[in-house]
Amino acid sequence: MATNLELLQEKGVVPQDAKLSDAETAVIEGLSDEEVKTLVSIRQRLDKEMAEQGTTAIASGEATPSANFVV
Amino acid sequence: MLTANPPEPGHPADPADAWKPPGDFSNSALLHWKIRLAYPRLGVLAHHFWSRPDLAVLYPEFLFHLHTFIRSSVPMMLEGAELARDLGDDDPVGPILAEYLEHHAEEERGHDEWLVEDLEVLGVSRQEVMERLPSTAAAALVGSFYYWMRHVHPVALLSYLAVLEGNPPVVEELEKSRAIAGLPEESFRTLLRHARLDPHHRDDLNDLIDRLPLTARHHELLALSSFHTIEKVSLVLEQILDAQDG
Repeated sequence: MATNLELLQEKGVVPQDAKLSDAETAVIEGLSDEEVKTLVSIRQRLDKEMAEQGTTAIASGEATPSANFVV
Repeated sequence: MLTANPPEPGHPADPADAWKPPGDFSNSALLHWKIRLAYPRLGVLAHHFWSRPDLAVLYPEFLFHLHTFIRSSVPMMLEGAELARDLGDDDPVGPILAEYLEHHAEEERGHDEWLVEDLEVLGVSRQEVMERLPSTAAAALVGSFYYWMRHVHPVALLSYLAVLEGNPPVVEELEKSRAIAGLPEESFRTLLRHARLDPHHRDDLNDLIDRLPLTARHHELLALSSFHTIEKVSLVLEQILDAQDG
């Protein structure tokens, strides 16, 4: 059975080349099934959006733009 | 899996029973690290949205939808504070959470009115703003937090704030978008004010999250509700773009 990390890398949630610390790996492996399922589902919608728009994902480590949604 | 009422037995009676995140992760660092796993969904859409050549057409729609979120902020925080107080002395998270939410609600009070004024600058009347129905995505997002606060734990609301205040607007980026779109400066007052305020709010929030004796269940709730926030806010942006593109 795949670990959380293997599954999330396969689905693109975690980049294949990500250099994770032991603590980060522990966080990933400690994610619940529901957290993993939700992350995969969100990633699939991102992939669909990118395919439709012809855009690319933000590279790992690149600053992510604010959506400017505020409270 | 999260369970609904009654609270699970793992609820700490003593802050010393709180769950310790792995390694050097603080509570807030753990939450933000999990948020980063989902954030590309929103980040890609946000980049796409704010780079659009027709931003001048999209922007009033954005402000309208933002208003449907913002007008719920203060009532939702006050509800959360009341629910947190109602948890009583057996829940060490409750009193700290209640105090924070009451304070933060006052900091956010009136911001919905700023947005109405910004929309008026763009020719959208107050009556139009108030009469138009919010999107189902906005209702699904805000409504879910009432559910989580009431039936699971009011600490859930912190994830909503962590997503929306955790990556605040940047003055230079807003000015650039505004200039390219040719929109009046007065229509950006709400966002520009938040660009200046939210870094402080983010720091206060992180400080609070780090002080709370959170259980593993709280952490999972915060993660799931933050993912939900990212998804629903993304959906709103998608709907604005889809409506424009036909």
